[in-house]
Amino acid sequence: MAEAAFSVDGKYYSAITQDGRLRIWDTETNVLKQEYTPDLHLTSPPSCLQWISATQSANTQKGGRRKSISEETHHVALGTTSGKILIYSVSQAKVETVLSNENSHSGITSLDWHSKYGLYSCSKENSVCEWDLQSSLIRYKYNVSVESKNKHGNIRAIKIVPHKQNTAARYLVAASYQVKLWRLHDGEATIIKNLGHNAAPTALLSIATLNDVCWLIEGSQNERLLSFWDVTISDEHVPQMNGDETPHKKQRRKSISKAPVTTATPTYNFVLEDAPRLVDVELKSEDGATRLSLAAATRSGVVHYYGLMLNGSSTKPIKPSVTIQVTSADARPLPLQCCRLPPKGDLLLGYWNGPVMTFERVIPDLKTKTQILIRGEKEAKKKGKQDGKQGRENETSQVTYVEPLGGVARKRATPGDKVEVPMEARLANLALDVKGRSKSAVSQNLTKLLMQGLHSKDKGIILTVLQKDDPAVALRTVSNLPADYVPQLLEQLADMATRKTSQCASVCTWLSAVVRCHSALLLATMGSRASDHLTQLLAIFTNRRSHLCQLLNLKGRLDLTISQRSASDIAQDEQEPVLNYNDSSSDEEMEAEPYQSDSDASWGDDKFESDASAQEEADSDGD
Amino acid sequence: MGVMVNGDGGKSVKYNFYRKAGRSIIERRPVFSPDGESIAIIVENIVRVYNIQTGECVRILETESPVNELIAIQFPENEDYNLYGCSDTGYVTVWTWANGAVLRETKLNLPTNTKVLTFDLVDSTECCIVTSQPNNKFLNLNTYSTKTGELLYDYRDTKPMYGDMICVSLGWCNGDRYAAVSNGTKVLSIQNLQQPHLKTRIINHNGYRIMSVAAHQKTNAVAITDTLGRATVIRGNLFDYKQVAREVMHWHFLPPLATCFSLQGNYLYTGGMEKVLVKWTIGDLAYRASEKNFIPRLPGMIRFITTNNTHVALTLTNNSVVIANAQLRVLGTLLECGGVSPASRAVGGALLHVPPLSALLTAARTGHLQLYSTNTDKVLYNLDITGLNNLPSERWNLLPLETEVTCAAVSGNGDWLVTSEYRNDGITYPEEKLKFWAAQYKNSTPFQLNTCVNLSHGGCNVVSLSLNYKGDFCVSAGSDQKFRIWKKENTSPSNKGKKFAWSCLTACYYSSGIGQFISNDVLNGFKDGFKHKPGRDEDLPYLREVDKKDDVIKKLFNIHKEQSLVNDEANRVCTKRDSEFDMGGVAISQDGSLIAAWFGCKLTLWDTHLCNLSTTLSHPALRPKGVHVQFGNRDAAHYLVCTTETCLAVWSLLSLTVKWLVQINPTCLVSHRFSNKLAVVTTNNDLHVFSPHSSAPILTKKRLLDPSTGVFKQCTFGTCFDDEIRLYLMRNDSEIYCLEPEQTEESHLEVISHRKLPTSNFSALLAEQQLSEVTPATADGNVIDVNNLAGSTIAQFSLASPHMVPPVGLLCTTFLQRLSGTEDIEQLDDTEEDKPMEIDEDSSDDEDASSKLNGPYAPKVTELWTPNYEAVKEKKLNKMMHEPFLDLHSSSSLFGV
Repeated sequence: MAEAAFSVDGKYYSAITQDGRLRIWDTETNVLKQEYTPDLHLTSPPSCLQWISATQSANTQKGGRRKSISEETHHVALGTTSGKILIYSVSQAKVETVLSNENSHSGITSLDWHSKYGLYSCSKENSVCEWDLQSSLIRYKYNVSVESKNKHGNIRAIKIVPHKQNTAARYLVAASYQVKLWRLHDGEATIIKNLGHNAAPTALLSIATLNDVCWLIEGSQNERLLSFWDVTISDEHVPQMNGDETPHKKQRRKSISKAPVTTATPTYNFVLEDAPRLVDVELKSEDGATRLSLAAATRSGVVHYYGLMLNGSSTKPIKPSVTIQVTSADARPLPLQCCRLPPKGDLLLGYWNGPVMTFERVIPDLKTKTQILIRGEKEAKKKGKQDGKQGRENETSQVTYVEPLGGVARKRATPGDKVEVPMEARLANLALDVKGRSKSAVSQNLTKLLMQGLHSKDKGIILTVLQKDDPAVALRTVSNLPADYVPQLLEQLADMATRKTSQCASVCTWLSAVVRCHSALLLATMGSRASDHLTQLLAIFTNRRSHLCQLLNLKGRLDLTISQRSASDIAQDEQEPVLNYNDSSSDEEMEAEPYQSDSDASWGDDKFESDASAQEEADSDGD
Repeated sequence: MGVMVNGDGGKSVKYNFYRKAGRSIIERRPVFSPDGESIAIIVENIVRVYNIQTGECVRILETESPVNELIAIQFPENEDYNLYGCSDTGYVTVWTWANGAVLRETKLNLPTNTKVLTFDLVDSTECCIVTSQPNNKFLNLNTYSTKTGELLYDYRDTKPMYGDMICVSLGWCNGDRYAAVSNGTKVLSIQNLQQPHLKTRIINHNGYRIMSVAAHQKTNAVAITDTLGRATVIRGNLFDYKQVAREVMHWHFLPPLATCFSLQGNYLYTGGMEKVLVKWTIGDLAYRASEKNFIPRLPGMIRFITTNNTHVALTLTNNSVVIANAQLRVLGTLLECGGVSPASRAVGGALLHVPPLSALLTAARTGHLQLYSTNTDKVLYNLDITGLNNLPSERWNLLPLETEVTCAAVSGNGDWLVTSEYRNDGITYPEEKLKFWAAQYKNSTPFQLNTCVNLSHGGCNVVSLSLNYKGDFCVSAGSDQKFRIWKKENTSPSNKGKKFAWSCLTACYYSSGIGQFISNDVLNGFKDGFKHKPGRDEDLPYLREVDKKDDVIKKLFNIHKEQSLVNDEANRVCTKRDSEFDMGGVAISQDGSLIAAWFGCKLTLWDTHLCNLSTTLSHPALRPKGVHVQFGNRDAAHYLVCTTETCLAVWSLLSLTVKWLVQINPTCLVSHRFSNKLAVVTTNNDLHVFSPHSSAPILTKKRLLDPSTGVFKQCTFGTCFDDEIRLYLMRNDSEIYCLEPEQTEESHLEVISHRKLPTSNFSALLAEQQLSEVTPATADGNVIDVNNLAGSTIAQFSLASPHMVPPVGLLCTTFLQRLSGTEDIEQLDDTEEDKPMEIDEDSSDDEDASSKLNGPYAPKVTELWTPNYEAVKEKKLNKMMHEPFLDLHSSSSLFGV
């Protein structure tokens, strides 16, 4: 009885919800693709589902030509408790056809499909039907009920066993309290094997095949155990051999008349933490041996992964190689729902992350016993409207923007922020006089100040120190600097080196001091963050140096031009003026101006007037 | 105890080579199915049917006999349960829509070497096609029978010149079918299909070239679009150019490539290079005439528009079909791989395998990368890399240069993606951005931008990128002859949180170190602001002139496959410099300790930790310039494989010697992360998979495809186990091919043909078979005479004083039409019918000799001349009925008795 399953290629995951809806997720993009509510979903809810592949066009059946995947469209067969089977097409998002049995209306308990054998359903009356999808009719109907005295259980799970024998017979495992392997041939069902008992009527069946060998994994609804059975169909199970079957084998159960083989103990047992919810298995041939990978999601919400080389049988239960759990950052477990082993070697997991189902591909870490994935955010503090804004801010703040040529990240003022610099600081900035300060310093040692600045990351203090472009001061300051502060100092220097040339010049001075005083330390801490900053500084200086040649060239030319230009200016200045006119009335004019400039609006006119009057005065003087 | 021996190694695996994705779905016009649930799209030689609601491919229709290419598919109006398709060689295939089976296949009787260009159904028995023949510059317009394949009529008078932009639409005019043909010139040809002598050539206003044509399905109207951007609806008697009226609608400023009437004909859809769909209100809804609706910001130019009553489908140049409802709300997109812009196609783009998603990262439309799942053959995501808006085209600059993703790399574990984008138009300073994206496969966007470096190489483009396995550090090689080492750093303040950013460690170079900067004269040229003043209407040559050789309109029409739109000069605009130390590929060794980089013909090895040069490798055979370099992996980690344009060489890093060297012309070199294998593809599409240990390749596939159809430029290994090889190759037209081990899985698919759906409560009341023998009651006096009633009502209505009557514009249109009396069916002119046939017969003698007429379906020539075929036929029948069956006099005179 499968209420959840992956599609054949693993693209989709579908599950029947509590209220009888079918939900289909896209596992690659984590999207809930479709939700389908069947008619009468509350009175006769779907009981089981099965992915099938079918096509709609008639002429794609040409042999030999390779079919692309999109051609075979995904369908989900839904068995309902009213006895109908809905074939739901995922690509068309609608029910394609409804298979119904006119004679009986007992609920479908289990469905199974195999690309070679078609769709099988099992009803509550313990009858297995083989369906012909083309005509929506029953091809065969088999009765697989077992008369049993103590426990009468309906068949709750069926599984087709593929085989490579040359026979038209089909083989099927049916599980109620007893698990049996049946042969279905021409409308007749015969028991071939008994595969032990089950603790609950509902079983979880899964089939693994490799070449000719076929294994069954069987888990019960309330047992913390998976059993692993060999259900390979061999020659002796072919109907022709029916008469002289199994004379040499022991008969353990007398109650069964047809003498089927009873295998009491499975080949392997796998221990689980809780009853299984979904099992996936894969067999792989590896260097001649067979490797079994088994993944099982349990009801407690963990996934067990078993890796095993098949080798004989073992009665001792096998413990999981890895147990995978998912929790949120604040240790809230996120229940795992499903698991699948894609042929890639990794593990596809699905878990509830809050209200959403999330799928993830994980490579099982076989070095540890438990693998815990921390996913999901902490419980978000509810802040109402601010949430959206915060999210957007987060998004932008997650991106780091780097300067051209890979300069060091500079912290940008967020746009719209108010710059509030106190007046004192502004004045201090204006009044900053490097030479003057260095003279007034108490001593030529700024170690304390630098340490203080580095410790508090106060840009102002650091800049006051590092902008002193004096080798002696730098050497004295750095030589006393404790080793702890050297990486921080380098970081600051690397930051400053990307700034203006004047700053970069002082960086050179300070860096040479650092290298002279702390070379041993720098060598010792090779490979740490400090050395990263050194390489960065090297890169910056190299880059700057690469321009040096051209800049010097330019500077030379400019100097030349300027000197020539200034030379000519000087020459002009030195010339005697042709006419030197000394205006005696300038004093009067100076006095006149303050009176006139009172009216701001007519400033220009006044000036003109004053000029004009001055002109007049000059004229009159000249006269 | 025996030792288990591995298999003899003689496990010979057969490899399949097939096309994986990237087929063009935009080549032809799609059609909606009659039930409105699905849309059928031609993909080369098959028809894919997509469901409109889910956007998934529901089924595939194939032709019975192999064809090269399907030209058109259509549901005939009188037989809409069958789908008709026609191939370029003239095979008409009929599928039943219910189950997709081929019903019939007819070969049209075409002359040899004829190529069908368009196919339109007149009805289910007759089709109208335009064919071309080599060595003939004129095209033929013919009608053929779809049942027998016979030629019905050859319209000799309507012979459009050859052009790739042929567009045909069938409509109704005065009760006859006509074909409206445009071919990218200023002439629109109208040809009556029933009466071949009725034809017109309508010249577009101002002589602008007509881009596309659509005929109204009901009334005498045809819509054209021209290069100026106008959409013109021509109404009236289309067979007489003097009697047509034109309604010009002008919103587009660039040539609209497609136009289409809505099914009822009240709306006109146009769209084209602006990437906007415009829905015009026309016709009867005249009171809303000025209304327009838009779908803006479509991802590509519109090539075709198809409508039905509820939906509109737009075929876009980015290889997608957008489906919107009638209210112009986009419902879904059918997206196929590819759709790469011409500029990006020239660059080559990227093809990378992202292991956690088992997806391929490929180039997509401008500024995007696409994640394509190889498991399910679907496009998963479209990643916007540049995050820029489209640059709008202008009349004088139809294809502006946009920022394209030039390079990309993914770390081995798929955690980090690095991309580089570049734009250099030679006018402004080049734009270049290096972006680091962190994977977050659980969220709706698989990659999140982490760090963005503007002008990472000072304005030079990034030549190649390489990331190490864990995604710790990255190397980018630029055309400034330097490579930069980028390192991931934890930038969270407490060092505990997980906030990472990338920063540049250093730049390494093999030359003097003096900056190689962009020094093109073009950069110093001033931007001429007066050259193209906005708003000035310039007469550009492409608007009117049909240029045979270099027709830009024709190229734009086929932009998705046109190679010549990008001129190489523009691509190489950036530098004028010494190219001796030009960078080629870069690679990081498996353990991350070494970096290999090509500087011209010198292959250099660098220490990752100290960032200094450790060795320079050079060999005379590797001149003049190296292209690719890759380290071997696993047990071949001590080998370095490099290629130039003419050879492939393998260096041993232990002895620093060339181990072996082969003379081939490689286009691409890739290594597999988890085995010692490498793959190389050559210019003649040979594929070699080899291990550096020996020069004998493990697998060789010669000439996978004809090199003239395209060369494989990109190649990557997929997820593969053991000794399997799974390779994905991308041709330069962005089709993805796959080479993988043959899988033999026998399974048959069941076909769901019988549908049994639960009936609704109402349908339960209806019997499956209904038969009623009750004769309908004859009309008696109670029946209201609608016509009379209407007349009296109108009279009453019009008697009211005018100020009481509501505004005319608000009155129901049908009422107005009734008032104006246009709906009156024209009575057939008796005088015309009375004309006996003899007059026609003598006049049609010359016609008879020239026209080929065969087949039982063809009407006689004489009948073709008469104005109304049906009426004549009826008259004939009447005559036969009324006249005596055997006239003794005439028969005796006839037989000479």
